[in-house]
Amino acid sequence: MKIHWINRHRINIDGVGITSLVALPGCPLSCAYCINNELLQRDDLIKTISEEDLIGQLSIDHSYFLYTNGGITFGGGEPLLQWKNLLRFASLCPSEWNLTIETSLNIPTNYLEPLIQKNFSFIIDIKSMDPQIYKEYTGENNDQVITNLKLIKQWVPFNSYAIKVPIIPGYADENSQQDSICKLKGFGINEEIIVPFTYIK
Amino acid sequence: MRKSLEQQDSLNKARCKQLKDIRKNMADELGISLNQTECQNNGYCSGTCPKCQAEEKLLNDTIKKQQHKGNTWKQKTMVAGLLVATTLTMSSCTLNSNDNLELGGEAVIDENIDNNNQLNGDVAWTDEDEEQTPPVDQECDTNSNSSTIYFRDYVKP
Repeated sequence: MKIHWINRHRINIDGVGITSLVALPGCPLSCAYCINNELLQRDDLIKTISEEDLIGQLSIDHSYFLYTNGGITFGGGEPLLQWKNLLRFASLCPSEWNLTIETSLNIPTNYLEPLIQKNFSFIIDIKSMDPQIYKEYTGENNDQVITNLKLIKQWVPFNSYAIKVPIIPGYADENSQQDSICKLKGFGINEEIIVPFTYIK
Repeated sequence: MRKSLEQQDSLNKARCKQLKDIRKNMADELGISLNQTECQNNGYCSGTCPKCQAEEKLLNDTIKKQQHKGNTWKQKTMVAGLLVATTLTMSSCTLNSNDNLELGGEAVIDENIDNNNQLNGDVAWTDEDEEQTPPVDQECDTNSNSSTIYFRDYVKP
């Protein structure tokens, strides 16, 4: 598995409890405000580590994970690009760890399906449900996102995923954000798991 | 919103205190003593240290022996679900205010670094002869009570 860094002791940031974030390199999108843009471009910061060694390093926080219902969050970048490594990690790590993936869902569906079966949780940054705004902001279209979103809705328990809908200055204003939220509700997505927020320069 | 070293230090100290209290609660439930004392560090705090790590190791070792207790904790917290929506404030892409970076990323103050690459204190995965630099100021406001995410205004090359 290729990773950028591990960030420990994240409290109620990536969901409930104390989590460790493992940042994975690579992303299919080119978001205008990508906060990790510079890091994603630095190959010298990429380290290759076996899933076993990664679990060994992360195990130092095992007691926190148990006590607070925390665990490991994979972000980046787009962690689903390394879906096979994530699958292997899940098969090897302690079963008590909650495993969460932060994703844009803009990946082939066959990357996602095995991880749904492995009981991963998902934090989805939807950017915008407006195809034009999505394209302008990320450089890609969102057809695959919609497909994967429907899959998540169908197979993942509603309290195991959350969808973040941003206001993006210069791209998606509050009206656009509300339109995106309405579209998500139109898919039957529970409003409780939709998280509006704002990018601020 | 860039943080000064002083602000980062303050955040890290607060986080360390929070974790220390959690460890104390765990130890009480496990029936062990951590012999916790007041932190004597007057310098920059990275949010963890060998003493904290030793407590974590002791707790991990104890939980292995008391597996049933770990299971009880897990069952108690399972109902929490993935998130309380209002607390999901940060993208995982953003670094915690705790600049506890390991395995690459920006180097951190690592006076506790173990040359055997054991996880010891706030360890950055750097080459042994690489010059250590102070931690990078965080770009993000990590106010976990806010639903606002702040991003630096990147200029695409």
